[in-house]
Amino acid sequence: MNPKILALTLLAVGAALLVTAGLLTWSGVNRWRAYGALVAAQDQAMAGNASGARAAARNAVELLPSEPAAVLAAAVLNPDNVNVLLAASRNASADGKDALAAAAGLAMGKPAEGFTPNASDLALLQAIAARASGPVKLSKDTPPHLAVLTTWAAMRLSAALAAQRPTDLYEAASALQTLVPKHPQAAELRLIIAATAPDSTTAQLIASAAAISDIERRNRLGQHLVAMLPERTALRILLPGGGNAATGEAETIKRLATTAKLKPSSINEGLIIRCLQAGKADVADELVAVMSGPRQSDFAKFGDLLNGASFATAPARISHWTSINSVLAFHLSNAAGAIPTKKITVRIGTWEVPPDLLRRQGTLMTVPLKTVGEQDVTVTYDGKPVFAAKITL
Amino acid sequence: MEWIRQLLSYAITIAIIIALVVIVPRFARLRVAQNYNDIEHLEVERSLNADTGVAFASLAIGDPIAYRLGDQEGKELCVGWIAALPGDEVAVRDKSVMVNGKKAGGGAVEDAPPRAPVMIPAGHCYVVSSFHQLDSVAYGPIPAAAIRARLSSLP
Repeated sequence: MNPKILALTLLAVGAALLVTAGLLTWSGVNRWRAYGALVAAQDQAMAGNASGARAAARNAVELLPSEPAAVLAAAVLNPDNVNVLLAASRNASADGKDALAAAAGLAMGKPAEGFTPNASDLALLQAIAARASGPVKLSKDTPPHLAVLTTWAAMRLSAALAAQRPTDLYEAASALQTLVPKHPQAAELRLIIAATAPDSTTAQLIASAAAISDIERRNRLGQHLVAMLPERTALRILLPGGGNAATGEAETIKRLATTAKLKPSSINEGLIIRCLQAGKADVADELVAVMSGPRQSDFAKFGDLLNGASFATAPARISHWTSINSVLAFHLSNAAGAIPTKKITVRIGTWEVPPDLLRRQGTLMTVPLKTVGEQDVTVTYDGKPVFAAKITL
Repeated sequence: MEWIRQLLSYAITIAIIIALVVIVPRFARLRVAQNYNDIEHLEVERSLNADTGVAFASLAIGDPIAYRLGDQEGKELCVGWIAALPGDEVAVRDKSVMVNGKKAGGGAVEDAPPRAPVMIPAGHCYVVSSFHQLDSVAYGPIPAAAIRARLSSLP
């Protein structure tokens, strides 16, 4: 062979290999950069930062557009994106295809065309599409994916609540609580479980109810549960006044406290806060007194705030006052945030404000003003002075 | 001419070596869940005989593991042992974690009403620890990608 031709051929082959090596090296670099972005996405997801996780996953997709792990982490699950999942599916391993089929099913709200999910995912996706509240048989050999299982549990909870089916409600709430313990409505889930579990105790019911600090939400859920399980009389403590509207929250607190004192381990922060919200600081003190030593230390922060006093005996104080549109307004409470229930008197100059003009809304007090300008104002609570100063109204 | 031929043969040899170096890694797919070699604080686990190359599929119930719940302080490295794997059913009864109807390890689950059994999803495991502060009772099933190593024992 002519040496010149051989040399040129070898030169061309060498150049082609160098270009290939360069491209592959660049691809490898991108692969590791994508790997780093995916690890960051996982960290964000574990920390509960969904938007941060998706942003990091999008970086991975920019580097590796057809990598299933990146596409899955970045995908917004709506029908418009099913084609993106389908494209990634062509390049995926068997496990990846399973996960992409599950994601596509969630995007469509039913098993999606072009994908074959595993047996458990398929059964759950069909149940989600049918909004069925009944149980679904899952295969131990092909367990479902977390997102499908969680979505199904949430749908089942909603359907069971609407259909008033306690067994389904119990199983759905249990699934959500186990899969997503940090669920934003975890306290409500615990209450549903305590109310519907066949063998839960009244103490567990009380502890779960007391953990929901929002009274309205607790009452609303309580009404649902009492209507669903009228034969379970213990549930009546979930209603304002223990089921008797005439007695009100104070009576409910009394009943809760009486039962809780029999089992101090059921007393938690939620119950203490509920007592304080109801103006029952003395009951809160009684509950803390029966708690075990180590658990009492949980309330040390309150003790610090109260300078060693109890909830009931902590001195009242007023917030910074404000005067606008001929109304003087201030908050009156103690360091524990207790709502004042005893007699409050307000004197402006020589005028003692009649009790019927003093409006109370929780800790907020409002007083109509007869005159404005600089005045001596004194406030007393339960006969003890709380505030006395010359202020400009 | 001889020197040109010699030069080209060197170039081709180098190109083939470079190509092999970058092609071979491509045969290994991106396995986020199984690559633990870039983990920070790895020295900490050395004393626990951490097996950082363990594959998720080879983990068994009862294995002590190190895992990561995020990059915040305190969650960078957690330890516990595997109570359930994908397909197992986890419930809470009598303040204990139950797996497939049998009592699993870990401390008591305080203030917990009994929970119905739930299947552990694919690619996840249920990890328990003594006080349930940073385990599956508190955070739910742990994804395989969060697992960092299998340990010989728990500290």
